[in-house]
Amino acid sequence: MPAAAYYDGRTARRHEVQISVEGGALLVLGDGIQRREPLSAVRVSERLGQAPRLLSFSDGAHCEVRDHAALEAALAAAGHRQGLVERLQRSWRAAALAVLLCAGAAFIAYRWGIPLAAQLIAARLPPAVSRQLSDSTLQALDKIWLEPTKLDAQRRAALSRGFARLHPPAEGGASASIEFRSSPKLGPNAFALPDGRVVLLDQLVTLAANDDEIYGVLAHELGHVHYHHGMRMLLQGSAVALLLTAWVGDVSTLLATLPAGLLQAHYSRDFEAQADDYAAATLLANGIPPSRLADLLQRLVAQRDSGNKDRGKDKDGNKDGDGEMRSYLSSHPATSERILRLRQADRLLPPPQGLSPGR
Amino acid sequence: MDFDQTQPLVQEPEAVRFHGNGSEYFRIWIVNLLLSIVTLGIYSAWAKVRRLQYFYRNTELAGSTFEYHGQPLTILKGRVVGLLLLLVYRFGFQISFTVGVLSLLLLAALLPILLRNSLRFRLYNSSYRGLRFRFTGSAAGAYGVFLGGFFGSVFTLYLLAPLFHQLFKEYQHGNSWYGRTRFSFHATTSQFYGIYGRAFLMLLGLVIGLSVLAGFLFHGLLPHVAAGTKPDIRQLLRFMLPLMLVVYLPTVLLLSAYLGARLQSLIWTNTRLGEHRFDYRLSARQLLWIYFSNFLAIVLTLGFYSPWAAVRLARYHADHMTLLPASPLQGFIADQPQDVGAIGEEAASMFDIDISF
Repeated sequence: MPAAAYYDGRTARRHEVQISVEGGALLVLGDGIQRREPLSAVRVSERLGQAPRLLSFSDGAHCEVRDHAALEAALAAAGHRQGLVERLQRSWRAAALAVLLCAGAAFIAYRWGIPLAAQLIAARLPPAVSRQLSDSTLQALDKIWLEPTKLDAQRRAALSRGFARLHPPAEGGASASIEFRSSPKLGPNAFALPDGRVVLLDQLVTLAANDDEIYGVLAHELGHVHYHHGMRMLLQGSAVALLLTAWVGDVSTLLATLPAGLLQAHYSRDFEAQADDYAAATLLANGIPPSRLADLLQRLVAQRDSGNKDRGKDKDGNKDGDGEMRSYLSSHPATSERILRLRQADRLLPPPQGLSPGR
Repeated sequence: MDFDQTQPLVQEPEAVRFHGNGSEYFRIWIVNLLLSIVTLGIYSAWAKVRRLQYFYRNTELAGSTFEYHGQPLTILKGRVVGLLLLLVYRFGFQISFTVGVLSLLLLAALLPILLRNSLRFRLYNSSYRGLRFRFTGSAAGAYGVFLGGFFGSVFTLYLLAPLFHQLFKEYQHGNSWYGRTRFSFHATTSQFYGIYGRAFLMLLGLVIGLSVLAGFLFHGLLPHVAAGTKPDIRQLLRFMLPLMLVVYLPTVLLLSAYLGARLQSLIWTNTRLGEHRFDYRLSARQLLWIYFSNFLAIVLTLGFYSPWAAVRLARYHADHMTLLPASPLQGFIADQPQDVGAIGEEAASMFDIDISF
């Protein structure tokens, strides 16, 4: 006979009552109350920890019960079964398993789920969206970072022609054009806009020892365009930020924004590797050794390291510094690995005609 | 001010108590979280109902608990609408300028009503001792408070923000009911300005003081500044992380603790339910400690401390709330039947919506 408080739903008056379950009916007795309701017409609230449970009647009245053991015994005797979730919510074993599964789900979503979803969406977005996005990105960059190119028209035309002549490694390669700019602030760099335009900075042209190196960089950027990396990065970044906000955002929005950048760095490394592979394949298809791109990468690293030494600072220099831009060096820790991979790709270059070892 | 300080309190104060505990809530939270993940977020509406029920039912006043009656499907519907609006807001201008402007107009037209309906939904689905709360704020009032408040604040460099905060609280509390008894709100605009003014001075002091401190701690960049040369962009960005930890984070924690404590105290000590009053005096220092330790524990546990954090915060808030009754609590009488009858309930679930996440 659990004790309970009864409220009739019309006044806030509290009635101290005793409840019991008899013959499939709930009995409420005491303090001037005498009620008998079939148990099937009573809504029994779920048990949530030690919080009082409510037994609600259809006319708005309800009982508030704190004696959990007695209530559960009475309900069990009447054949009332607890829900599955209700039972899981009380079990430490289920909680431990849920922690593991949540962590696993988070990892799977981060490693495969979000990238896959972003890939599917990016490939289906209408070209107008990436066009619009590219325009606004380039406008913003022009305002803060970029200056007009100082290369003469002849040089630009030659590079554009060479670039146009590069044939893609497979059917349906991305169509692309070069936007020439200069940027003393950013240094030697190139980056792809989502719609296929590649921004090439004068500083990179100056740094390159030959045009093949430049084509190597452009082919790498074409890889980003071909795989929709720009748009995918944007979508993945939004998704990661959204999920992190859902995870801890009610406690601190700062907590949600800080790790988002770190998590995205990983995505960026994957994309760099994929673009390198595309660049290697493109260069091979055009008879250019992929190590040309490696040469340029190496010179970039050397230049930056000496620059850092001049300022007497820093050994690792791997903080990704370029905000939303797809920078060439943003994946620096893996740069030596990238150089090695590109050099190894030289082996796939068809040997020059006439010198092939006969059989 | 027309505070009737001389009126004797014949009734004993009734303290609110919170009985939830972290380990208990953790098990509820994690199971529902997993189900939400597995169902790609759909189950989160059920999880929200459980969360609110856990916190409501563990909140006790004068021997009785509160109860939450919201239906998961209604909440789910609200979340879909909320998500759509968020997408419209986020990507409108990236599609085109016209779409962007149109989506802003749509938001301006819809949001006040949706927010009003959220308040209505939340209160209608809250009860104490079997009597529901209600919210009767008008649509016109919602446009004035939300739309007027937004533009009135933004276009005056937030000089009018305290005024609109006061107006919003007056709209929210002044249109709330428990059974047949109406709440009323008595805090004045100048009281809001007093708190926000002090918070602004604190903000200035904190930003200046902590920036100087950060300068001493991370002076690697100072020679560049002195020499007038441009430091490397990468170094500048590397500078951002410590700057956030030394300047931004303490500022946010301190200000939110101060504002949270002072504003909540002001609002509730100046809210009445009929003739009944509330005593609610939070300490900014204690709140700061809770915010800070919760923050730290959540970082260290990669988020798994959050159920304990939520329980700690709820307990602190509940345990500082006291009802000062002017007459016996039993005297409250519920609404006329037609107000909470089947038709009313049907209408509530058709048009009411909870877009809060």
